[in-house]
Amino acid sequence: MENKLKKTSVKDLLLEKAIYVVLIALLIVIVIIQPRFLSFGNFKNIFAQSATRIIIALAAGMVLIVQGVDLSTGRMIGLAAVISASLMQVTTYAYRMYPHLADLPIIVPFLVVMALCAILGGISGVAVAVFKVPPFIATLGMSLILYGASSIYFDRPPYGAQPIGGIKPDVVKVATGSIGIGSFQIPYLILIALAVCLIIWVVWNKTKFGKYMFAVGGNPEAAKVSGVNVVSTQIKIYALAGMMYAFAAVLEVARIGSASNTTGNGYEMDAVAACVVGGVSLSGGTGSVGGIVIGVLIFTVINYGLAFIGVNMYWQYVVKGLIILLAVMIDMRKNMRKK
Amino acid sequence: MKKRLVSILLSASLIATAFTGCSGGSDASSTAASGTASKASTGTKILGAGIYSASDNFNSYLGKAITNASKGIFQTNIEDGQNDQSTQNNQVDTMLAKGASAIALSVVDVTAAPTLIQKCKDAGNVPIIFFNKEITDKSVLASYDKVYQVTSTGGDYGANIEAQEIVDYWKANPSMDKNHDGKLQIIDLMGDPGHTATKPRADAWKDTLTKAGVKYELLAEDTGMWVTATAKDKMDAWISKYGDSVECIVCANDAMALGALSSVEAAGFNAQGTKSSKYVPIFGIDALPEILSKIQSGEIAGSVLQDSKTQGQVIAKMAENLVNGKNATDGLNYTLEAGAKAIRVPYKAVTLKNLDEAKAAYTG
Repeated sequence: MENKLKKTSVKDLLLEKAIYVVLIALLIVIVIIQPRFLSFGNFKNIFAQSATRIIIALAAGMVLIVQGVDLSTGRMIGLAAVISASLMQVTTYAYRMYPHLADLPIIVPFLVVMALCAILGGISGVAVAVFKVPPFIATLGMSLILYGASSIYFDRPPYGAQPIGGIKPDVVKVATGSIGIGSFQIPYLILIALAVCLIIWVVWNKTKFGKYMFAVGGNPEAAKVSGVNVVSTQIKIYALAGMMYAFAAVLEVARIGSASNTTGNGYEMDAVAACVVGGVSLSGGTGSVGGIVIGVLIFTVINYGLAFIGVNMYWQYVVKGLIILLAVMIDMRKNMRKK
Repeated sequence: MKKRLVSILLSASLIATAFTGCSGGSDASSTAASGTASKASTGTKILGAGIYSASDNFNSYLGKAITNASKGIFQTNIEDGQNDQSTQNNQVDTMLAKGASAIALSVVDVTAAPTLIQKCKDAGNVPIIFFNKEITDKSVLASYDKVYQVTSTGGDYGANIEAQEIVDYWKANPSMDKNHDGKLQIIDLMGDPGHTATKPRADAWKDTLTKAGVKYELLAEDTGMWVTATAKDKMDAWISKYGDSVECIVCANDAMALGALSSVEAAGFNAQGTKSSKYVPIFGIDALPEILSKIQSGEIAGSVLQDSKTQGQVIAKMAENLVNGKNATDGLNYTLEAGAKAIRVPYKAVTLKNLDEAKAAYTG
């Protein structure tokens, strides 16, 4: 009797933590195939590659939690990337977008694009909350506008549709630099992502705004009745998401070293997929910072690990798709049990 | 209701300020816009022009070259095929309906050429020029007397020249063979597997190396999808796995070469150019301005210039000839390759030796 009880609780635990099990299983398989994968450098790379994606997924996750979906994620990142890149070029670079622009402190491009994208995100929010446009449509429209705008900004004389490069070394250092802790070098990017996670965790779990967000996402009618300002909460969520995309975009520019109108293309689906694998419900109301982080890590481990092993590129797609399906199916069983 | 109106006005004004904010700093964009507007009113003949995707920066550049070269001859507006053949077909229908006297296209899908040719025939034998992506089916080209092509040299899309740079580098720098095994340990970053240039480029450099007697070993070969970020992510894994045993990185375009560079620099390679304590030569194709400055600093070993400016000029001139019933090549210093009905504007090797030549392609 006791034995049986124990057995089911282990099973429950496994189901409850299915996402972690998937991640660990994935790592074990990769290490078995290629033992050299087990190195500090590889894990550092995986966390560093995940850093900006985590920030993006947390933002997209917020929108999912309030029963929305943001299709403009990638293009907003693209717009923020080209604008910020054009403000962060080395003054002596031969192909500067603004040849006479002064050497701006690094904080300026951050503030410019974060403010701009907060406004743009806010506009999506207004469309959704005030005008009741379905989020899918509102953000699709926004995404087209943003792609057009970033292409107009990017593709113009004198150098036209060329990646905006020549990014200042101190900016690049934000993404490639690291801080020594003992004998380990921890990239700034990882620390930045950690800080963002911490702030977002506090916002979600310890503030009125966070409680409102989950209330609106869980049941907007009930939230309204209990005195939550649904409209303002939704607008704020979209604006905050825009701001976070812009922040991540500047980090992307620093990480990649250039930006073009294709920067960010498809990031919205990566973000949504990571959120869903990480336990965010597509119907809103549920989601956690930890889950989203694990969701992103699973995808980065797949990308990085399969390239590391040397899996054929077409098979990489198949494997990635299978893992998404498997992860979410296991995760769904847990919800079915609860019901 | 009033509240709604206010919010409409508010969002409209926000959009307006956001966009004037974007373009306020540059006179360039406003002159470009007024330039197109004034062209539309001159009432010259129309050249219906389209690129397969504006996400392909080189294609955008070609589009711009065509627009520049058409000034005073045609009025033209470059359409973005959005990498979707049905979108592009609709665009061609619109161009012909608008009364275009000639069509110039980089097709999304080369097998769609017969359909596009038929559209031009039906519209009263409108000449059509294919550029960038080459139609290789000779019977399709033979089916219409007013179809021509403007492409770059050969079916290798510049990869032979890239490979020749590698061969030259190998012969000039014995230190390239870090493990002294007489073989070149190479990582290859290929393009998007759906793109016509991807496989030819991947095959051609190997071919050239083999023919030149350079033995090589492929450590890793995968797609970087033409994209900097994807290339960087993949290279992170490889440089961590292979480290100093990588002796050469071949990239199918410069965007990916930039991604590979930022990845290896993070791993301690190349940052001080050829004087870096750890160095791996990286080669690309396209000769982007960004790459030219990296070649200058020694961080990138070489690239290949596809001369968009000249291609644009040739396309505009050829279209003018065809519209006026002249020979396709009249007044052009190029000969037509018979079966392919193509003028080929050659690729040029770009290394530290001839950087100025490449830079000239971006002036004026």
